[in-house]
Amino acid sequence: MMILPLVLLAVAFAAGTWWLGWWAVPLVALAYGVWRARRSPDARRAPAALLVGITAAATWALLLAASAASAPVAELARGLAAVMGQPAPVLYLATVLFPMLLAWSAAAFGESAVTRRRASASAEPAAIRRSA
Amino acid sequence: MRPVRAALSGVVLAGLAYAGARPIGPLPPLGSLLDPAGGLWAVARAAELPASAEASVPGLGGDVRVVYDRRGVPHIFAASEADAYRALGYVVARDRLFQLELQVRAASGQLTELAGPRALDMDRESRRLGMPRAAERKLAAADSASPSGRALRAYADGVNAYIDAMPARELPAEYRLLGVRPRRWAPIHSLHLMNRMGYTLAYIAPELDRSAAAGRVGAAAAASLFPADAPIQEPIQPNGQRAPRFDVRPLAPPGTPEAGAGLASAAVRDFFPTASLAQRTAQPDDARGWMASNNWAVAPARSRSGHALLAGDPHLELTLPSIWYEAHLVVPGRLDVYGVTIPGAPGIVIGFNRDVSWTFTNTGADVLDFYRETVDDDAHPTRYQVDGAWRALERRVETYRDAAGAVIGTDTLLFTHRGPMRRTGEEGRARWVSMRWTVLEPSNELAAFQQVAHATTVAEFQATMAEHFRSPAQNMLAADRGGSIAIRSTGRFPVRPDSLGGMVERDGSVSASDWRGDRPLAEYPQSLNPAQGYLASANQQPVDPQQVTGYWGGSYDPWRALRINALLRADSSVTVDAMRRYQTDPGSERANLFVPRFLAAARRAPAGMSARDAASLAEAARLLGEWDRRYTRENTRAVLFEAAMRELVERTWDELIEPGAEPAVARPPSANADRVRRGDAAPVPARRVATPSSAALAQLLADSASPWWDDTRTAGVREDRDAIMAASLVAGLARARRDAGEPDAGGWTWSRVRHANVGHLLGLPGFGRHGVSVQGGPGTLSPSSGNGAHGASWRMVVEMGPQVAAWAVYPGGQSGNPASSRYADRLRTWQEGRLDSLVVPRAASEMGAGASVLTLRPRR
Repeated sequence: MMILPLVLLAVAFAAGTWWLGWWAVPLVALAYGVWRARRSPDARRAPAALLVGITAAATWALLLAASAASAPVAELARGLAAVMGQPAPVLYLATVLFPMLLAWSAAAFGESAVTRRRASASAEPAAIRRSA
Repeated sequence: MRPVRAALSGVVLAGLAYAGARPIGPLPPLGSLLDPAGGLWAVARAAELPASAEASVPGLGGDVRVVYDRRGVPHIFAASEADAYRALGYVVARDRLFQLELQVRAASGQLTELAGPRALDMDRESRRLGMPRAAERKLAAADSASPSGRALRAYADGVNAYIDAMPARELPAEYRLLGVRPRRWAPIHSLHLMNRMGYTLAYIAPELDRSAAAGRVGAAAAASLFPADAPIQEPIQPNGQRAPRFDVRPLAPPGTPEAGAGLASAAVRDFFPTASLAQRTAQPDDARGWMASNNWAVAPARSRSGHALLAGDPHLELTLPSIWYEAHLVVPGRLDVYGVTIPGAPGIVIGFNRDVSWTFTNTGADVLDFYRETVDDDAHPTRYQVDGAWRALERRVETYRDAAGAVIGTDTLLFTHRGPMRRTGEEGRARWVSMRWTVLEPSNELAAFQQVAHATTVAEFQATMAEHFRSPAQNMLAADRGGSIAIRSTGRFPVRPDSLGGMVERDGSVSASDWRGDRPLAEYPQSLNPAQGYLASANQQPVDPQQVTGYWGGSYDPWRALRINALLRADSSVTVDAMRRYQTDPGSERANLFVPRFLAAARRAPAGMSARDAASLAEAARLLGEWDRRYTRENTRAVLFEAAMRELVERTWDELIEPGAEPAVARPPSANADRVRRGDAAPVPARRVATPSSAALAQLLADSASPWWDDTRTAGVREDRDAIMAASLVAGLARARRDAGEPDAGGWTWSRVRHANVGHLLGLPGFGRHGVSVQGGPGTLSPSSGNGAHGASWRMVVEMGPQVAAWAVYPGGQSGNPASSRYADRLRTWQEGRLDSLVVPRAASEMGAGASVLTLRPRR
C-alpha cells in the first residue's frame, strides 16, 4: 500500500513544480515529513524520506522526458553542456539529483523536527514526576 | 542518531535552497537552471513556433496577420505602415529578444548592467566617445510626428507588447544564464543601434597606421606605405578603362623616425581602445580582410534573361544569432518590402520591393578628425579657446551600474562643439584632444530605410538615400524593374579646410580648422547605367584619383574588385546562377599576381644558397607551381602560398617591427628556416607597429633593389627582392610542414585549414558553430579572414523582371533560441555557396497555411 502515497507525492511534486516552481519540491517534501512524523509510529507505513527524494527525482525526470517527447531537449542539453564545460549526461544527472536531495533533506528535516518536539514534549512530564 | 539526522538534513536543505535561489560563482541559481517546467529546460519547449498563436498588442489599428514560411520568415500583412512596424517589433522580439537588448547595451555603454564589471572597459569606450549623448541628441532633433517618428514608437510598442505578455517558458536562455530579466524597449534604443553601425563601419582611422609607421621609418616612407590613393585602380565609379591600372611608384625608402609622430595614433588608441587593439593584434590579411563586402549589378543587355540583376554580399562579423533577421512587410497598396533588418531597426536595411532592389558595401571614407585644444586649466578644464574667445565645455557625468543597480564607476566627460574631448598621450607630452566624427552628428538613417521601401526607380532610391542617409557612408547599389542599375557612395563626406586630408591633428584653437560643410551630391562617387553594362563595388577606392581629386581617406583592398570586374567583363550573358557562383568564387587576383613572382624568384635562386636550401626552394617551387590559384575547399597548395606570403610580409616589413620586439640575435633567414624545419624554433614573432597592405607589397615588386627588401635583421647581408622571395618560399614550406604536415598527407587540404567560426553573441561555446570549412581565402570574393569570425553575412541575388524573383541566405537562422531547428538551419546552405529561393507573396491568401500563423489583435 506504499504506492498510493508515492503517486500522490509525485502528483504534488509535478503540480507544484509546474505551477509554482522548483521550490515547491522542498515545500511539499517538508509538509510530507511533518505529516508523517505526526502519525503514530504504528501507522508509519508511508514512505520514508529517501523514498520521497527518489519520487521527486522520478517526477522531474518524467517532466523532462515529457518535454523531450515534443521539444529538442537533447539539442539544448548538448549546447548547455558545452557552455558549462560538462558532458550532457552531467546535466541530466544534476536535474534528477537536485530534487532528490532537496526532497530527501526537506522530508527528513520536517520529520526529525516534529519527532524531536514530540519526544521532548512526552519526556517532560516524566522529568517533572522524577523531580517531584 | 535523530539529532544528527536532523542537523544533517537541515544543513543539506539550507545549502540546496541557497544554491537553488542564488548564483554561485559563474553558475546561475540551480533551481531556475534545472527546473524542468520553468527553468532552462523550458527553453526547449519554446524552440519551435506553434502552428497558430494569437496576441494582443496595444496601439494596433486593426488585426495583423503574420504568416511564417518554411524558412521561418515572417510575412507581415497589416492595414497600415505603423501596424506593420508594430508587428515587426513583436516578431523580432519573439525570435531575437536577447540580441535586441545586448546590441543596444553595447551601443549605449550599458553592458555592465548585464555582465557586471568585466564589461566596464567596453562601456567606457562607448560613453567616452559620446555615443549615448549622440543618440539622445538625434532623438531630440527628430520629428516625433513624422512617419519615421511614428514607426519608431510603433516598433517599440511591438517589442514591449511581446515582453509584457511573454510566457515564462519563452524567456531566452541567455537571460536565464545571466540571471537577469529583459528590459523594456524605448525608441532611443533603435538610435543607439544605428550609432553602433557607425562605430563598426565608420571607424576608419588611417592616421593610426600612418603615424605609427612614421614613428619608425619617417613621414615620407609612412605616406608611401599607407597612401591616400590606392596603387591599384579599378574604382567603383567606372573610369572607362577595360582593365585595372597599376599606379606603380617607387616607395620612399625607410627614413629617420619622426619624433612626435605617434601623437595622432595615441589619440586614436585613447578614443578607440577596443577597436584599435583589435586592429593592432590582427593578422596581416585580417585588418582589411574582414571588411570584405561586395555588390554588383548587371544591366539587361548583359543578362541572359534580359532583366537587371543585383547581387548583395555584405561581410560582417559572423554571429549566432545572425546580425540579420529576414522579414517581409505588406500593407496593400502602400508597402511591399522584403529583405533583412537588424534586430532593433524598424525598417528593411537591404532588400527589395516589387520595383527596386538594393544593397550596400562600406565606403570606408575617413570621416573622423582630431583637434588639439587649448584649455583654461590643464588639470581641470572648464573652457576651451576658439579664435581668442573662451567657450564653455559641456560636462556630462556617466554612471556605470552592475546588474543589481549598484554604481561601479563614474566618468565626467567633456565636449567641445566638435565632439568629445579627452586628455591623451604619454605623461609629459599629454594634451587635450577633441574628436569630430560624422557618426555623432545629426542624422536619421531609419527614415531612409523606411522611405526607400516605397521607391519605384533607382532614381527615387538614390534621392531618398541622399536626403536622409549620412553615416556610415555606404556604396549603395540599386537595380530596378525598368532595367536601370546605379551606384552611389552615399553619406556625409566632410570638406576639410586644407589639402592635408584627414591624417593630421589640427589646431583646435582656430575655427579655420573646422570642417567647411560637406561635399555636394554631384561630387559623390556614382554611376547610372554605365556603358560597360555592369557595376561593382568591393570596398575599393570609389573614384579614380586621376579623374576626381580630393581626399576620401580609408584603406582599400583592390583584389576583390579586380576579381569581380574580371568575372563580369568576361561574361556578357550573366545568369542568376552565375551571380550566385561569383559570391563564392575561389579565384584570387592576389594569388595570380604573387605566385608567378615567387616562381620567378625561385628560378633565379640567389647565389650562395646552401645546397639544402636550394633543394628546399626547388621543392617549394614545384609544389606551388602545381596550384591552380583557386581557394577551393579541396585544394592542397594554398597552404604553402599563404605561408610564403606570411613569411614575405615578415621579411619585407621588418623595419616596422616594434622597438624591443626584434629577435635578440640576428639570424640569416635561411638559418632560421633550417632551425624551424628541424623543429628547434618557432618563426620569429614579428609584431609590427603597422602592416602595409598586400597592394603596397605588389607595388614594391616592381623595384627589385628597393631598400625595403633588405632584411635589417641579417647583419652584413643586403637582400634584394628575389633573395627575400626565395627565402620566404623556403621558410613558407617549412612553416606549412610544421603547421600542416607533409604536402600530400591530407593536412594541406584547404578545408582542414580555413574555417568560418560563427560564434555566439556572448561567446558561449556550445551555442556557436565553429570550424565550418568554407571555399575562399585572402583576396577572393569570400575571403574568410584568418580567425574565421568575419564573412558573408547575407548573400542575395535579385532578378528585376516583371515579377521580382530573389534568392538569399545568411549563416544562421531566424530563431535566437539555441535549441530551435531555426537557430542555424541555413548554415549548411551558406557553407556550400547555395541560396534559398525566397517566397514573396502579395497577400496572405497566397501563403496558404504557412508553417505558423500569428494573429495580432488590437488590445481593447
